[in-house]
Amino acid sequence: MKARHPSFLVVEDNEDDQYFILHALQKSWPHPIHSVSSGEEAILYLNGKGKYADRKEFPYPTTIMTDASMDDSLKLLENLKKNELWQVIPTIVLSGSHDPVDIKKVYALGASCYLLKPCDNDKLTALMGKLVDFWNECEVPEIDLSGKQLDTAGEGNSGAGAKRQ
Amino acid sequence: MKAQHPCFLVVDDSEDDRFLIVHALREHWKDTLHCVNSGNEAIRYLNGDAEFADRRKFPYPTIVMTDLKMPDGDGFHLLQNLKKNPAWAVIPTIVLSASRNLDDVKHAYALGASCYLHKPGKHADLNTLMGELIHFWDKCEVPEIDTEGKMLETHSTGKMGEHLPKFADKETRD
Repeated sequence: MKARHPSFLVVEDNEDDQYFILHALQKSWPHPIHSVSSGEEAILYLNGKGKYADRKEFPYPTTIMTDASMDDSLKLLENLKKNELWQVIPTIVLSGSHDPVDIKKVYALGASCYLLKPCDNDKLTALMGKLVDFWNECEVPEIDLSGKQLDTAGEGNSGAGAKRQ
Repeated sequence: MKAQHPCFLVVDDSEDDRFLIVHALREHWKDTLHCVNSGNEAIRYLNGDAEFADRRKFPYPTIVMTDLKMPDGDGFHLLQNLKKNPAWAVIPTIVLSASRNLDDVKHAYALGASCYLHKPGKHADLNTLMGELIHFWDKCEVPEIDTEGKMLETHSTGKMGEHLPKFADKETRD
């Protein structure tokens, strides 16, 4: 990821899965990874509330990966989408379901992509490797160290800025 | 990508860039690759308007990759239209732009871009980048479409547990 302060937030309620995902990610992701165990906790983290108040310890995430089988996972996606600051954070969904309805619902709620959670660890490690390789190449909104997204004064180079005004 | 009828739609006004992108993606995507040269043309393609009416020739895309700076409907215009239309809002949309301006990056994500790639100046770098893209998106599930180019409607309520009592959810997870 081409952010200056990249940081990954993993949202996963299953302790074992959380352990394996973090372990697999850490093999290829050299930047901070943090994890929370519910959508509600993810919102606390994003808000920098409670134990997440220290942004040096809990940096604002530049990418989120969430499990889709948690009770409040769809609510988390809805909350991310509703919030102007959070809607621009790429959100990767990891799910145990290949039901087309679930896939569509998750994309409709603004997820960047939808991955099936592999059941074996080697496959999970390989998948996380591909994920990191790709997302390392992606531009993402910048944040500063206090955890705010950087506001830029530029109009954009892509020529659309003028028309947008 | 794990679609039964995959179709990759490339939106770029530069003939040279289109050539290089197709060249980089062709081996993997083969005849499922289609190109248009503006945001408005992409919208006509999605609608199956006029020249794009034949869905056998111009299948409904399962993924879109768009440039930003284009005459006749730029990438933001396309993203806005995709987002507005519930059937199109679920199509993963990759931005590939020469701009690294932070406003453009943020604006593209705010309009629902799945991810934002900086278009490299060098041919070899573009090939590498498209390689990473193929490797990752190959693993992604995307909404299924039928051969007529409509998103498939299913009667299932999904398996993620929201319609099931919690104990049942737990049982399937354990």
